[in-house]
Amino acid sequence: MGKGCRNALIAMFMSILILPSVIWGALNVLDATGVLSISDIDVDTGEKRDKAELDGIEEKSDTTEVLTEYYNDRLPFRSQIILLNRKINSRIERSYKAYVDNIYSGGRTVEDMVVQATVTAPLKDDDATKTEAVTQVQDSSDIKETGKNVALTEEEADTEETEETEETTTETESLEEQISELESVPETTEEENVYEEVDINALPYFPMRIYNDQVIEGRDGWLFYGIKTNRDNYEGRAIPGQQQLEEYAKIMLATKSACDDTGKEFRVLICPDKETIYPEYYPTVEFASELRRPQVVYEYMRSATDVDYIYPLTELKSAKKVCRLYYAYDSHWNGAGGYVGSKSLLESLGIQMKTLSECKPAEFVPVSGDLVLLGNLDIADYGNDVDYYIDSDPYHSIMTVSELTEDGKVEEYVSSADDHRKLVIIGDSYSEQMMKYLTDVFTKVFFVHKLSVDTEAAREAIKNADIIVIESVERNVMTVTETAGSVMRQLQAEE
Amino acid sequence: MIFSSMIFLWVFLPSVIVINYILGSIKTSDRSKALKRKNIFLLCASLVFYAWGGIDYLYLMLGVIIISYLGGIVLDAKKSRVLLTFIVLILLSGLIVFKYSAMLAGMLHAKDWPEFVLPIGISFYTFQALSYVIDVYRGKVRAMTDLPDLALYISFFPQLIAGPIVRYADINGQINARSESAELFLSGQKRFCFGLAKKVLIANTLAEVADKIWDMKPDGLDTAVAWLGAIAYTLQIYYDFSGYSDMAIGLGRMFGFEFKENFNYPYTSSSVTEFWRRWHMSLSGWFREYVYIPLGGNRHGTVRTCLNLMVVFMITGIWHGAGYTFLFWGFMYGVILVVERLFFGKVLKLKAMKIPAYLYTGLVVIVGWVIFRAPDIEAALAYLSRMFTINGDMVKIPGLLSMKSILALIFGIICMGPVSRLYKDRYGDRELRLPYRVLSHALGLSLLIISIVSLAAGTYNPFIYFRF
Repeated sequence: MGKGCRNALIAMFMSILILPSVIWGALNVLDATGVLSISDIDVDTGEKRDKAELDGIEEKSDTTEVLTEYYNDRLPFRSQIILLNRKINSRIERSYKAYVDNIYSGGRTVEDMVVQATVTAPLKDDDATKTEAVTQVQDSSDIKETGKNVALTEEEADTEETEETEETTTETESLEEQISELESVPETTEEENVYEEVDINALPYFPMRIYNDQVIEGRDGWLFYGIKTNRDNYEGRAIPGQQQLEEYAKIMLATKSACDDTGKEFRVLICPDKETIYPEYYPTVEFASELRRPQVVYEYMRSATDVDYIYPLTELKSAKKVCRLYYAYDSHWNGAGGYVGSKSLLESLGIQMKTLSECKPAEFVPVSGDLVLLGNLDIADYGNDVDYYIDSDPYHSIMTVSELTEDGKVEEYVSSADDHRKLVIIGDSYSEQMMKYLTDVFTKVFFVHKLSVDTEAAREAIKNADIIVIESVERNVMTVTETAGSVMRQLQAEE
Repeated sequence: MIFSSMIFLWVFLPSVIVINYILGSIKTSDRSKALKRKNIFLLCASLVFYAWGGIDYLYLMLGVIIISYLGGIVLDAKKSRVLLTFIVLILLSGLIVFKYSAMLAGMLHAKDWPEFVLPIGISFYTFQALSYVIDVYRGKVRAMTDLPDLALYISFFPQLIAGPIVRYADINGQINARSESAELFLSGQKRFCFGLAKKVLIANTLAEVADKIWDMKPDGLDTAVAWLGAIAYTLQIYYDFSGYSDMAIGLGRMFGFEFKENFNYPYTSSSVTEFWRRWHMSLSGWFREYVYIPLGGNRHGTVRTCLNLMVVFMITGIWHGAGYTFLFWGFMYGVILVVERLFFGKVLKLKAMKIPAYLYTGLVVIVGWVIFRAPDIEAALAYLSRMFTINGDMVKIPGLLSMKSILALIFGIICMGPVSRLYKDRYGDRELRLPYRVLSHALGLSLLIISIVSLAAGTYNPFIYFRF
C-alpha cells in the first residue's frame, strides 16, 4: 500500500478519535463568546435529569466513576448521536416489529381480541343482553385505530344484525377529520361499579419487548413502565406479609390521628398503574399469584382501619367503556382518567360529581409520552396517542398557580370555586391531571411533591390545610408510609 | 476503564497515541533512551488505565509487580525450587483470596466469610507474573533488572484486563527493542476497529437475547427458545472474548508490540481437541507450558497422560470462575479430550465423519457453554433437559428477537470462520489485492463510527420524572 494511502487511512482513524472533541471544544468557545448558540446543537433528548456534576468529588469514594459520568453527560455531539441512534434503530426495527405484531395478533387489534374474550366467558342471564349489546356496538364501529377506545351510541347497540368480526383495517384519515368525527360522537353511559373483567388468559400469547431496561411494549404498540416494582405488582409478587401490613396500618392510623387532633380531614388516594386497568394491552406474563400488592394493602386498610383509603380500581374499570383513561405511550392516566380519580377522592369528601360520560369527554391533539423518551425510542413511531378534555359545566374555573419553592415542587392553586376549604395534596405526577378538577371545587389547592414535604412552604400549607390527601401511584404503595411520616412531623412541628 | 467506553475511545486512546508519537519524534542520538521514555510513558498510562477501575486494585497489582521483580532477581541468582514455590504461592495468594476464598469458605461451611470484589484482570496479570518468574527459574530468560520495564510487561493496558496472556519470553525482546511503523499501526488500527465492532455490534446485541432467555425459568423453556439462548450465548462469548483480544492485539501493534493470536476460528473445529487448539490459545498455551508439561505431559504413558489432561482442564475450568459449574465444565472437557485421545479422535478423522465431526464438536461446545453460563449445576441440567426434549413450539422465537439481533446472528455465524477458512484453504496466506485491502480498512473505519454511535447513545440514562 502506498505511503499516501496508508497515511490517509491513519489520519481518518485519528480524526474519528480526535475531531469530535476538537470541533465540540471550538463550538463551546464560540458559544461562550456569543457567536453561536450551542443549545441549537446540544438539544434536550428527554432524559429529565440534570447533568452529572463534579461537586464534592473529593468526598466521593468512587472518583473515577464520577468523572466518567461527568464526561459521558458532556460527550461531544451527544444529543445528536442519541437522536441519530434512535432514528437508526427505528428504521431498522420498524418492519420487523410490524411483522412480529402481525404474527401474534393476526392483524387484529386488542379491541377485536377482547370482544372475543368477553363473548366466550361464562355469563349470567341478566348480563347477557348487556354483553351482546357491547359486542354489537364494537363490531359496528366505524373507526378502529390502534389504541383508541371510541364511545359509541346506544342506538347502534340496538342493531339486530350482528356483524361478523373481521379484521379491522385502519384507514388513513386526517387528524381534523378524526377529531371532528369524535367530538360529535354521543356518549355511552357507564354504569358505576359495573364492568366486565377482561379474560387475559383467553388472549393469544404476546411477547414482552423491553427497551432501555425500563419500558415494556405490549399489544397495539402500547408502552408500559417496566421497572421491577411495576412488574412485581402486576405479576403478583412481593405481597406484604401480616407484620408488614400491621406496621403500614399503624403509621397511617397515626397520621390520621394527627390530622384528627388538628381538625383536618385525611385521605389516602392510590392511583392504579396503567397495566392494572388495561391488562389486555400488556404482554403475556407468568403470574406468581392471583394476589396483587396494592389490592392486598387496600383491602387490609379498609378492613382493619378507619383510614379513608381510596383505590379507584372499580371506578376506572367501569369508566373504560366511555373512553380511554390512560395514555398509550405515557405512564400516566390522561384527562379522563384523572377525572375518574378526582371523582373518587371528591366523593369520599361528600362532594358529588357527574359521571364521566355525563361530562362528554372529547379527544384532542395527539400527544406522545414519557415512556417513548424513557425507552429511547423515536417519537415518530409513537406519535398518535390521544388525550381527553372534560368540558362539562361548571368545571374549569379560573385559577392562578404560584410556585412556593424555587424548584416549583410546592404550588398553590387559587380559583373562583365555591368551597373555601384548603386542600393539600401530597403526591406525585398523577396529581397533575387532577388539579384542574380539584380547583373546580376548592378555592385553594396546594400541591406538594412527596420529595418536598419536609420544606417550610409545605409545612405552612399542611398546618393551614382543612383536608390533607396523600396521593401515590400504586407502584409506590409501600412507600406511602414515608410520606405519611413526614406529614406527621410537619403537623407536629412548632412554628 | 474498558476499551468499549467513550472515555477510552475519545480521551484516553487518542491522548496516549499522540503523546507516544511525540515522544518518539523527539530527536535523540540514543534510540534506546527514546524507547525508555516511551516505556515509562506507556507504563504510566497503563497504571492510570487500571486505576480508573479502582485505586485499591492498583496497589494489589503493584504488589504483584514488586514481588515478581524481586523474585526474578533472586531466582536468577539462585535456582531454588523451594524459593520458586514460595514466590509462586505468594503471587497466587491474591488470586486465591479474591477469587476462590468465598468458594472454599462455602465448602468448609465457614460462616461470615467476607465477600471480596474480584479485582479486574487479576487472573491475567497474575498468570503473566507467574510466567515471568518460572521462565527466569528455568533459565529461559534473564531476570529483568529494570523495574519499569517489568512493570510495563505485567501491566500494559492492551492485554491487562482480558488477555491475551503474554509470556515474558515472547515479549521481552520487544520491550527493549521494538520498531513502530506506519504499516504496523495501520494493521493495528484495522484489527482494533474490527475487534470493537465484534464486541459492541455483535456480542452486546446477542447478549440481550441470551440474557432475556437465561432470565426465564429453565423448567418452563420451549425447546426452540432454549436452543436460541444457547446459540446466542455461544456466539456472544466468542465475539466478546475474541473481540477484546482483537482490540488488544490491535492496540499492541499501534505501539509497536506484536502479541500472539488468541483465537483461530475455534467454531470451525472438527474435534474438541482441535477446538482447544484454537480457543483462548494463550491460556491453553500457558497451561501446557506451566502445568501439563511439568506434570509429565505425555511422556509417562497413556494413563498418566490422561490424568494430566484431566488436571489441566479442571484447573482451566476453575480459572474461569470460582463455581461448581466452571469445575464441571472443565471436568467435562477433560473427559472428552481423554476419550478423543484414546480412540475417538481417530474416528473423527475418518473421511465419512467429516460433517458429523463438525456437528459433534459444535454440539459439545454449545452444551459446554450452557454449563458455563448457568448460575448453578441444577439450572444447567434443567436448561439442557429443555434443549434435548421436545417442549412447546417456535411461537415465542420471533418475539425474542429483533432485526438487530437477527443481523447479529447472521453476521455472527458467517464471520465465525467458515468463510475465512474456506478462503484460506483456497488462497493460503496470500494478501488481498490493494483495492480490497483499502476496502477492508474503510470497512473497519465505518464499523468504528457505527460502534462509537452505539456506545455514545448508550450513555442515555433517563429518569421517568424530572420534577416528580
